[in-house]
Amino acid sequence: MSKAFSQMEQALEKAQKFSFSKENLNKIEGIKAKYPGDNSASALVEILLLAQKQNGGWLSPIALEVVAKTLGIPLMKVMEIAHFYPLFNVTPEGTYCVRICTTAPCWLKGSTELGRACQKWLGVGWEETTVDGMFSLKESACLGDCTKAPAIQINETLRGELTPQKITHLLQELADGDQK
Amino acid sequence: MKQNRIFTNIIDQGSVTLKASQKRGDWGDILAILEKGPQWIRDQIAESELRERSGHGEYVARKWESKGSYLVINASSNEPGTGIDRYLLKYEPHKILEGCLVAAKAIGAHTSYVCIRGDYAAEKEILETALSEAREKNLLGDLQINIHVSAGGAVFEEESALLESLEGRKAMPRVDLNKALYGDWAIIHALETIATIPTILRQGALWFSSLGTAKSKGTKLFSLSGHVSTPCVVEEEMGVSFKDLVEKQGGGVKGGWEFFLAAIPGGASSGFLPKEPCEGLNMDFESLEEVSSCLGTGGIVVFDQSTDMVRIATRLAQFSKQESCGKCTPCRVGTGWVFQLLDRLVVGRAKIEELTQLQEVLLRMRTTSLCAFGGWAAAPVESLLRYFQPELERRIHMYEIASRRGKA
Repeated sequence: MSKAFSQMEQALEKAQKFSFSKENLNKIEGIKAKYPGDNSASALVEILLLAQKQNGGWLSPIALEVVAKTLGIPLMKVMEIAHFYPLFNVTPEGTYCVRICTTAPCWLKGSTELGRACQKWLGVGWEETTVDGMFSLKESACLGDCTKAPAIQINETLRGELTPQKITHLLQELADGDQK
Repeated sequence: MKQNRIFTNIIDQGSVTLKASQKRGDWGDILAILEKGPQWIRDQIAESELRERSGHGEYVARKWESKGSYLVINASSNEPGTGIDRYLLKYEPHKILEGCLVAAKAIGAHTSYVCIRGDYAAEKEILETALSEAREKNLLGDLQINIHVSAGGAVFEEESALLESLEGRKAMPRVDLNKALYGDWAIIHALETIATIPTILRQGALWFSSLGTAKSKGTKLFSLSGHVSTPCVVEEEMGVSFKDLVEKQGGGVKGGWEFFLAAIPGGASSGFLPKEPCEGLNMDFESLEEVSSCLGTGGIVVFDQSTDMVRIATRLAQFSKQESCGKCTPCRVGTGWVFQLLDRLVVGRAKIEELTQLQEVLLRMRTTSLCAFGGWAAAPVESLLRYFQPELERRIHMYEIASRRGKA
């Protein structure tokens, strides 16, 4: 229990701080340059994605503030976008965010069983994160890979044609890989 | 089977570097094409009768009658049943760039944005590499092609919502549905349309219009998913028989054609079609309009007889509920209400009068929503009522009997 507690404390501490890495700052300049004049708000989605990736899969209030400052737009507008799209997480996420597509074509090919297998293996429900902060499980709308149904996305990698056995194996591999 | 095919690399799934693409014929005589001028390009496209590869198929030439300073390409849609965008980005990125170049020349655009969903991280990288390769070789002239990352959603099919999101606001349709970007006019195309254009110019408008049917020319990508043996993305001539497509390319319905129950012919917004109209159906704009459906994006989902159609409709209703942007009331409230009722209908926990009520709500959604999304959300449920009403009534009846027994 104390281990989980200290991890939580660490996570809390981490959530208090955020600033873009040098590499990302360079990227941001490139992204802003794509849009004419003072239309830097257009770059918002891409920059929020960068921030989310750097911040371990979620957008903390501090991160949102930093993004707003970098782009020179009101914080309210940034929050509006971050809360509007399911692509962004505004609560802490696991290291691996497992999104299972449950729309019709994937559902036909057994995404329900995949979901059940994941829930059983991870011991969490939909939209929940494991206690050790390793995995988050999410239901997702169409991932656009219907020919390889059922499809799932782990962080940025897309995987298709899965079965309950394959997915538990995959999760096991990820968990083992992280311990090493 | 590479004769008369545009996207040969989707068949081969080979390398997508500039060199490999040039070997396949991309970029070859691009300068000669550009030299012939914008009017020639417009004439060729008008002659080829190319139609937009989404929705009800607007003629591209008609779209090009107005000029635009911006060319916006939509690769952000996530309509269920459509995997085509991913394939195009993965295997034919140079055709997309080439298409942007000639289309921008034709409409007089100085900047082009390719809007890609944030989920398509790997595909975005492929297009980025292709773009930097083309820039290095100075193939793009003075046209600015930019890759815009958007968050993705079904409402992005609505053109003004796409532009709103491009301007950095929430993806919601504009009240007057105008198509302005940064105070200038923009022209929006589906990804497949733009990737088709360079091949038309190269092979000639007559070649393109010799393929297909009277009103739908050329070839089209179809994605086959659901209960078929080999789900795939294939290119076929317009007007190809639906049954052939499923049996030859998709490897047939599991167990044989007699187990076929229904299909979605072109993405979720085209609704379901049961076996009878599917039997002799041709895949082109006019034949599908005849059976009050639409070709849409060409995403076919096949259901066999083990499928519970009410459940599938509920899934799609849930999807619409999540994807509705929430700007106008008929769509925001309607999609939620429809989902809740359908969720009860799966077991039959509803009154028979509620089916009429459902019909009314769907009609309101279709007719009074601000943008077309209301209609797209209503379509699958409308077709469920049209073709599977007896099944719904049976479920309500069975539930009634069971609950009466429970009381006694």
